[in-house]
Amino acid sequence: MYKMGGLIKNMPFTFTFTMIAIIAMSGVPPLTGFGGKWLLTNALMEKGWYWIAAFAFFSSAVAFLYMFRLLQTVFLGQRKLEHAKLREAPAILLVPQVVMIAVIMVLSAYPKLLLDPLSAAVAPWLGGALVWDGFALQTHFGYWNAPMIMAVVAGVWMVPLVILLLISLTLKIQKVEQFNIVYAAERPHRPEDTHFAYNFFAHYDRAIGFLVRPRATAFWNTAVEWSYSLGASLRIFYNGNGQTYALFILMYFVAMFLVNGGILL
Amino acid sequence: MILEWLGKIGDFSLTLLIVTLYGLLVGAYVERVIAKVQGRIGIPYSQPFINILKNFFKRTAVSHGVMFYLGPVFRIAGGIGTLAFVPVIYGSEMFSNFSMAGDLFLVIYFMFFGQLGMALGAGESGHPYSAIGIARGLSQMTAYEVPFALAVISIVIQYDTLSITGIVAAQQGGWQNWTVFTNWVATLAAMLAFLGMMGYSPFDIFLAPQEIPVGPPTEFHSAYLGLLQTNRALFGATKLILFMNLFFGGATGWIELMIKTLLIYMVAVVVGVAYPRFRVDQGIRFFFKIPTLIGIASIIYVQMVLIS
Repeated sequence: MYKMGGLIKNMPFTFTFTMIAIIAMSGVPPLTGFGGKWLLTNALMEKGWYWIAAFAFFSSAVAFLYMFRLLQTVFLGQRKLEHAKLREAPAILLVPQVVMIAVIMVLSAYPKLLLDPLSAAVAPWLGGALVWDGFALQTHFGYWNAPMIMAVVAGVWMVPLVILLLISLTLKIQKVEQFNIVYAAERPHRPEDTHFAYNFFAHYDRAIGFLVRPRATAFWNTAVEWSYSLGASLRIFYNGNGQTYALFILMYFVAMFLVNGGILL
Repeated sequence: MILEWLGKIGDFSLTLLIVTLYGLLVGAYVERVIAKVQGRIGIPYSQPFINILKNFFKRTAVSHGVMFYLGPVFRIAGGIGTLAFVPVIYGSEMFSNFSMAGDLFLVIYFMFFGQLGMALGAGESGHPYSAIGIARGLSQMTAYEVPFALAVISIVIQYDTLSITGIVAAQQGGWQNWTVFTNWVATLAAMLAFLGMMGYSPFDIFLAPQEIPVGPPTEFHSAYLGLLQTNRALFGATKLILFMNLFFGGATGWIELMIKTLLIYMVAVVVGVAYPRFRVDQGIRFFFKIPTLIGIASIIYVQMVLIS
């Protein structure tokens, strides 16, 4: 992935659809992913599986990290010089994406469209229908009014956008080309030096990366080490010297004689 | 119906205005406190306002692309939206905002909205220091979310509700009912997470405020930076209000709100001026050790002691 970068300029539609999909997947409201996570967490809490709920929350935060990395590495940052002439994906690939994004948007605003049939389908086996209060879904703990959340988020998103657009009327905004940044007191010219994407979450690796290092190699290396040292210890007896072996045989007979002759017992 | 919505929007606009102004003033106050500790006089109270106005009225700007342009819009939409889902004054229909749309989980997850948009905008600028700031900020965020999530689960078990209004309601009737006294373990875990959330030292490296620009806003200027500065005041104040609601009994009036949030803010400031900065990996390890253990203890505490 990190051999790409900056493709948002060439593939704006693909970027937009990926971004919406990632917002939906990582569970950021107002899109559908949040609904799934909200239902799941509520169900876990109602069951009293608090530890799993905590893990689920942490894993969704981490999911946000690795999914952002896809956007940053492929679409943002500095575009490689050889990718300057890349074009947007053909319509035949974009149209299905548009359809699916439209489905995400509709289901985000009206999750009832999906949840009602699903709930009816599983009700005979699992029981427990979803409790609706108008458009708001209710559980023992909380509530989730998806259309209202969608409206509020759309509203609070539009207001600063309009303000910025109004300011932009008087502000002379100059569109700048790639590399028009000052970095380490010079103007960079190679994307390979400037696109920060490889080993993006190095801090995490340094902090808790030891938890995911492969253990099998270390285990077998240790096993080999132990076998060698055990073998080395046994070499005291099995040392390849005929006199030592003759001494063992003699000691065996002496021991047999002492035991069988009743001298010891 | 439409009139009702318009009234609600009007009420929320008033809340937004008050909280933003309060956030800017309290930000200036905190800057002055930090300056006094360091033996400086510090900025005048008007400075944050002057900064924002100056940035909004700049005559020229550059843009690195559409997402760069929308980044600050996403960021401040994240701040305004988070405030919209938090009831600000307990018992006041006027200042309950849009908290009937969703519960505490919504607020916690919605905090990611602005972070994501900002990260995308800063990413398009193509500046490596922006991307490094994002990587640091996001890593640290997931780490402090762990003790915070554990503390939140603990108080949800305690009060048996996810509704923020419900949680505040359960703490009414005297200071002895506040979560900080009834469930001090969860409050401790959450306040340690709060240090990371507010971005003061020892957890300020992702913004690197002392350095020549390093961090997500590196390439942002003029009106973009104006929006980001407004959001920092607003979002900071919103987080304080959320903590006040969850752990310190909420507020029944604006004066109570301002006193409580200022005191909560001071926790981060006192720690900030007293301690040097962690590297990001040290910060992550910190959050995964003691604060996470305290968070786990808070759930055990609430199960064994409070609800048994």
